[in-house]
Amino acid sequence: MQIATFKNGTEEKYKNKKAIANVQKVRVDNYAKEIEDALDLIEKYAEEIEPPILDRNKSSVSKTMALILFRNSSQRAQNRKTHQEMVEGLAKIAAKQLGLHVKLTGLIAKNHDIGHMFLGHDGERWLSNVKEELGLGTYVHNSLGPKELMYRYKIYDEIIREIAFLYPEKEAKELNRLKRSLWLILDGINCHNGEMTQSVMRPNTEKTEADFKEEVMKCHTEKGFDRKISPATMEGCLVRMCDIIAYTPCDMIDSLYEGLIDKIDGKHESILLRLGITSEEIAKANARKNYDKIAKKVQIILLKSLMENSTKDEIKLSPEVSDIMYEFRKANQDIIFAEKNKRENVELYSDAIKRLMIYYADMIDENIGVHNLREINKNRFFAKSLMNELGKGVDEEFIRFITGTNSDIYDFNEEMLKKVEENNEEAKKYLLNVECH
Amino acid sequence: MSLEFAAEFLSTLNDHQFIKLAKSKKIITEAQNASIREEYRKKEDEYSL
Repeated sequence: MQIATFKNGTEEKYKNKKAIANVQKVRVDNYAKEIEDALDLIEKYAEEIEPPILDRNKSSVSKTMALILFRNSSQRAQNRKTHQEMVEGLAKIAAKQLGLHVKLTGLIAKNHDIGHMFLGHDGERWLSNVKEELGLGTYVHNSLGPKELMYRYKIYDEIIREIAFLYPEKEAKELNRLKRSLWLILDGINCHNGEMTQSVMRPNTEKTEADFKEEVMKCHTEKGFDRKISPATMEGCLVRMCDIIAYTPCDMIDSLYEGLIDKIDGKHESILLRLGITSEEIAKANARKNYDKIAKKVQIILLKSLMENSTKDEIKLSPEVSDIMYEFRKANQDIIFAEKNKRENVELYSDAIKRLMIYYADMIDENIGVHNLREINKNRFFAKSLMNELGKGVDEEFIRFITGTNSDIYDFNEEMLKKVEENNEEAKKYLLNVECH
Repeated sequence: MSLEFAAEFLSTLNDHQFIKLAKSKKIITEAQNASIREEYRKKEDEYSL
């Protein structure tokens, strides 16, 4: 069954606002008054809020999917930065048409992958496995970003300081209200992981800031918890769906550019045909080895389905498109996993993570001590001289980390460890052994 | 606590920093790195053929 067709010039028409002006506005009317005010306030100050968060966004240039291990990989394959910008673009178009807060949507989308670390999803899984093995909870990129922004960088204070500096005439009352609203941005980031089959997103309008903090914590202690949570806002829901819309066709063209598949055929071809891409277009792209146009067109078709089917309570795709998207992602994953299994160096990196973790833990236990870490975390010079004295050499990255943290991060960790202990008897035993050692 | 702190530290690294540290601690050797690169080069040649 063909879902959508684009005749000559339809795409151009689609870009015109008037052409889709009849899309239903979905602004939620059952938000608490407090949340509605908070959203408006973020929208008002979005331009001032953006720079401090963007400064913390490393926007790693590593490739987004499983292709990160290709050091010499194609320049055309998407990286973390281009992916975030793509999601931002798509989400903003949809937000504008659906009557949501465009700038807030942009803020969430542009930074949704801020928590990603080295070696992409592979690195994330390996570090998470090591943490679990040692009884230390788990690791997911969606909650690492908000956690770092809140506890390590104290981003709320930084934003408010900046606005107070730029606009000294602003009343403290308004700035305080804004500070209490900022969690909604981080909540959108924290809730952007989803189930593969999920095609409908409903906001959790009952959520409070305390609930959000609890969710961040649980994402670090309970495996799979990140899959159960929903954003507090429609904007967060929209970003989560736009993330999937952005990477689904891009994963396919990355596989083509990286040489994992030679051309579009078989499963992918039938999926694209069902979505409304013509066989001539596929043949043309295969001949030219340039698939960008097809990816963009697929994104437009999926986004159109999302805009037409969303209601004031939920962001969703039509059931047919949703099924096709599921098959599309499955087809992409089959290729990626097949390639991953061929990699001989997977063990090497996985082992390297474990050994580095134990190396730094030993260094703290035997040479620096947790108490000293607390003392040196605000003094870069002291940290450097201490490291030299211990004969460890100046480990720039490590020093940057400890001097860039503040005491809150330790409190957060201690609380997190308590949670892990409560949930996991094995972890408790392990931690007791570590203390004895 | 120190293991958790070490995990926190590692999670803040990007690709470049991670490889640099692993190499400096001799966890990934130059030889291994070279052989990985060589492996990719071979693959690239195969694909280009």
